[in-house]
Amino acid sequence: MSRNSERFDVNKYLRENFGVSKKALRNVAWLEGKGIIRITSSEYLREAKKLNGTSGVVLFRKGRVWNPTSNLIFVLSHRCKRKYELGREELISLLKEGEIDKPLPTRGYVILTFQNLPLILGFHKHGKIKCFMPKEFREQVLEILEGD
Amino acid sequence: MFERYREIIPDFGNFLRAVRNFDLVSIRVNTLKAKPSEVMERLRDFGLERVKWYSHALVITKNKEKIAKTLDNVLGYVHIQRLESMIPALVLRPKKHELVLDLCAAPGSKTTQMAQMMKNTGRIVANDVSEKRLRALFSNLERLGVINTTVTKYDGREFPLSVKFDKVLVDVPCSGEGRNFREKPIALSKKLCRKQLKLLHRGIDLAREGGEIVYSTCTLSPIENELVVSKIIEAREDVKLERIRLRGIDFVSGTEKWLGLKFSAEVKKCARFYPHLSGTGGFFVAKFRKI
Repeated sequence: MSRNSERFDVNKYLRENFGVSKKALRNVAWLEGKGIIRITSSEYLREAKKLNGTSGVVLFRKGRVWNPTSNLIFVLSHRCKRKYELGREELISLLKEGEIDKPLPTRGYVILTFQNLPLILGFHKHGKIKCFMPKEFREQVLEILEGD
Repeated sequence: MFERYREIIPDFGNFLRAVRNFDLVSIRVNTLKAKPSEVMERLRDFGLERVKWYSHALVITKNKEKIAKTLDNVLGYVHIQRLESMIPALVLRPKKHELVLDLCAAPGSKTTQMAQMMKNTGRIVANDVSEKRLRALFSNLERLGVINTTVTKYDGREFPLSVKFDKVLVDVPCSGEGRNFREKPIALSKKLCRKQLKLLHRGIDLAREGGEIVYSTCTLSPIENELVVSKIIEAREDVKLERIRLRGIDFVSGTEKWLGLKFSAEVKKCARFYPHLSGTGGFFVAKFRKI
């Protein structure tokens, strides 16, 4: 059941790493294809297949192991219980430099909040956090913070 | 300006005044992720005012130009959406666990509104023919955390008939007179009318028996509105028009005649929205039931 396993258990990963409840994932289906896993509603999948469309949102991408994408912030972060708050200066440094020193109790992907709003998907290792948000998003947020 | 609509727009002088002064900016709270009260608290500097006919809509009265550059917008807690564009989903009223088609979906304001009405359950097939507009749709789905959609790229007039839907939204490309408040040539409306008619026919074909279809435009031209609806009523026996019912917003019935054209008396069941009456841009909506 590890993240590089053929049988990557998404629900378990989200529960254990981000504290997403079983209830939050009750009506959800995971669609795997070409190195990605999409999250979508579990209903009318047969109809969706008939229409040859693209269902749901990409939530995991496979590198060496399955990794969450930045969409986790937009799609599930409000359901995640495990989050870490950043101060304004820390956030600005993270957005500008892409990395900051900040020891956290957990290793791996983390959700970082600012003023209690989940904002950044980061990766924590050896007391450093790396920012995993797209450049365009980082620039947008920086502009907002610096405009305040 | 809009002189050719004088005979069908009530209180025409006030209409023109409202058009000249129209600068409304509104947002929809994305209830998949946030509550209106939380958003109102965070965005208190924007002088938000509730809209009485839709509890998730808020009008911005201060710092309008800055709303796009807020964390609430970037993170998808709110979506900048014109008030009149919120009407079709309220008329269609998609429910949890239904199968819904949005035939001309991009950039996705109405799709994402329906997704929140359905609480991310069931499925919305969001279709659009334009690759460029589909990119905006995907981006909005991600930002707003909408997962109950399947995006397809068909010409709506040739959308496959292999699946039947509980509800179908046919929000067609139009001349946009109610949005931009610029008069467009009648020839353009005539050209668009042919396409709109084909799209609506297909939308009806795709609804299941008993299913509902909402047709909408953001134009004032009866050629793109009542004429399309009349032609459908004349041509098809498998649909009936239903009266538009919305509480808390003023609108007028569809018009039966305009510039020598006569439409079906049934079009009185449709609704026309004007800035001086409803406080929105100009809009038209019709609702059919498949029988």
